[in-house]
Amino acid sequence: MPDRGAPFFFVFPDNEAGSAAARHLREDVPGLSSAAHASGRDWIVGRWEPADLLVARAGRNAIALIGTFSQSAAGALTRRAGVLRDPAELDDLALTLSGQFHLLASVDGALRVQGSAYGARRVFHTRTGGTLVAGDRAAELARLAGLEPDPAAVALRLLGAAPAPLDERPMWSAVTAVPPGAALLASPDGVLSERRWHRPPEPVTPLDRGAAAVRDALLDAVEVRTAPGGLISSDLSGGLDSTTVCFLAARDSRARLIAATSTGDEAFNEDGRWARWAAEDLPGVEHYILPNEELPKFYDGFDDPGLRLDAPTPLVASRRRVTVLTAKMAARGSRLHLTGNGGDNLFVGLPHHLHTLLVRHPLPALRRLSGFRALLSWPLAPVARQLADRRGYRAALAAVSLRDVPEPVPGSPALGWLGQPSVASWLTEDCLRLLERELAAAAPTAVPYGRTPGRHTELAALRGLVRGNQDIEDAGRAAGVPMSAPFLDDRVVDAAFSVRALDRVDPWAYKPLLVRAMDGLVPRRSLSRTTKGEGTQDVAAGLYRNREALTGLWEDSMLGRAGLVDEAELRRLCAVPSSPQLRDDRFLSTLAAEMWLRTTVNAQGALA
Amino acid sequence: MSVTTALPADRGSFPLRRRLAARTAVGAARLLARLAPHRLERALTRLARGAVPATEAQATRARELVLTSSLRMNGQRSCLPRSVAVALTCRLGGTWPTWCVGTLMIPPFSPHAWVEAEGRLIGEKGDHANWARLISVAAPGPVTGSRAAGSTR
Repeated sequence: MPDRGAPFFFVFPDNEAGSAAARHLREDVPGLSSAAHASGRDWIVGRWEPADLLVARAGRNAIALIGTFSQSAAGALTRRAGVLRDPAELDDLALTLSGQFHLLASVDGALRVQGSAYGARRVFHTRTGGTLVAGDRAAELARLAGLEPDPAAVALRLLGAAPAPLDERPMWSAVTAVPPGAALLASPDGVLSERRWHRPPEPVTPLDRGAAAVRDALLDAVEVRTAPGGLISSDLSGGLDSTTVCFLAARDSRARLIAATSTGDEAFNEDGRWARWAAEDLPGVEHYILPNEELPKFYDGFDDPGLRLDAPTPLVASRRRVTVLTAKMAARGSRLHLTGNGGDNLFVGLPHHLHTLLVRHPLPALRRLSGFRALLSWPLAPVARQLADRRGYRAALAAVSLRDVPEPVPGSPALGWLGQPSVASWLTEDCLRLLERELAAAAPTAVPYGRTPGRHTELAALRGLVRGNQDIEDAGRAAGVPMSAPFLDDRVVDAAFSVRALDRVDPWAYKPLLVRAMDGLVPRRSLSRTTKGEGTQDVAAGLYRNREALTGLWEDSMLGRAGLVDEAELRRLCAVPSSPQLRDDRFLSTLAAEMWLRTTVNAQGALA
Repeated sequence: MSVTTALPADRGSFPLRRRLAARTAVGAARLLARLAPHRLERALTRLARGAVPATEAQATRARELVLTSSLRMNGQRSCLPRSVAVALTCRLGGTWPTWCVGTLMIPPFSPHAWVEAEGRLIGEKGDHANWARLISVAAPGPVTGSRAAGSTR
């Protein structure tokens, strides 16, 4: 019986202190797997399935992959290990391989620890017992080093999506996050540095060439997952992304596929109809449809024993909903469950690109602008104001105000570097002051994730999605099957983000790049969809059904004890589940922070 | 719910004369949509006088004509002027669909405006039975008996 707990690993340096720390860990937590440095000392210690680790050795050097990759990479890795003199030389290696993996190297006492280019695999590090420890999970590092969460980091989580770079900040001040696209290097004498091995591509490729690259990268991404064969399952939501994954997975005869659909209430949602149409075109693939009465409501099980995660997750409100299909597929014996997560981020072109397009290609940009304004019913004045705003990122961040924020209007235009963070009415004055200090401290040196508002916004959104996806994968594995998102492989994202913004941003076409890339692989009927399912009704019903438990939560909450939220205000609102304030991410992020603290902090360790 | 994510790429081929007529209906609808609900209801009731009920095909065609004639009418939140424009476009041909304002039967309150014909939603996603009608203006029935007496509503 394989261990279905979330996988994690630590990396220890090749010296006495590192070796001692690793030994303590293995005594404390029996049953961990490990791989050794050439010296025989522990290098990688953690929990993973045997097929998820590949170690290639040559003399004093070793290169390892952890995660999803092709076993055929072993030969090339061994050759590379043989000629390696410095772990900094490995910058080009990862992008020659398909999948999602960490790349580790141990070269004569020097270390390289590298995640993936867009954050699907993360790297963190801290110090314990006088030695560096790196790893893929901030929460595991914090537990190893006995750290308490940082109240300021918790407060930032209450803003929903905090502005970059605060959104990437670990929840423990002694844990450092290596940015996606960078590798952590440690020299034999313990000097640390970050080395950027990847930058997102410039968006200059025309649609046709870009679509061919997306097609190749996606075919490889799915094949690396189907190649080991066996029974696999995939979401088939009725949306374009999971439909694409299903059709690509069905091509590989080595694996047997079950397509799994949860239609929701079809009186409101067309997803089910589109999923059945797609399934008709997938001969030989079993189509499982979840009976709608078995679909849990939002907020059902929000107080289930939590997963130990790196940060609060809005998944608390939807964990049972999100994993109900996974659990069914686990019962059927699926070894891997594929999802279409990430497709929206790659292929729904953001109107934020208009900022740049208006300067470079004014006429097509104006046409697109009028299209977005019509489709989304945007009034002209705020759109013009936002597009005329030519401030840099730092100025935009410095201008963020948390006071007298008007009630958010759903669907109102937000085209600048950053949207207004959500400020809930229950945040205390202490909390607001703490947040203002953090924002003021970040603004003078903040660097956006991309040079233009369009690129920055799509990278910030992708990184947010990827963090949430890790939580979904952990929840899915806890429910019985490892989950995997081919769209989040570095080569797929690179291919999509290299296409010209003009070709990706089009209010007259839904996901035009994906549609072009899948022409001939996915039937025209499935590619023609221009609507998308949405779940407002289910959220409202879930709030109503769980209102007593949600109200009771704020009798003696950890956020209340930490002085960050006004419990009386939260009790008042939760007792009236139709409160509009509960419906957006303000309440969700508060609930997420509370439940995360309850899972993470032990009984005595309240926030100071 | 399912939301529309893209504007229709192929605009139907309607003759110019009909598109101009629809533009006029759209212009009038945008003005009418600014009225308070009870005034709008009264105005539409008056406009519906003398029209015969639109068939599903007529109402669908009128909706397509409106969407083709005005980009703005395709908006995810343009339901009120759009529904009025579709009704007015039908009226130019002597028919009238049932114009409705209402909400989904289940929370949250989801205000929406649409037209129906022959008891079916025209161009809307979702099931007819799940929408509650708060205001509706149908074509006047044949003028007989009690209906005739109450027709000044």
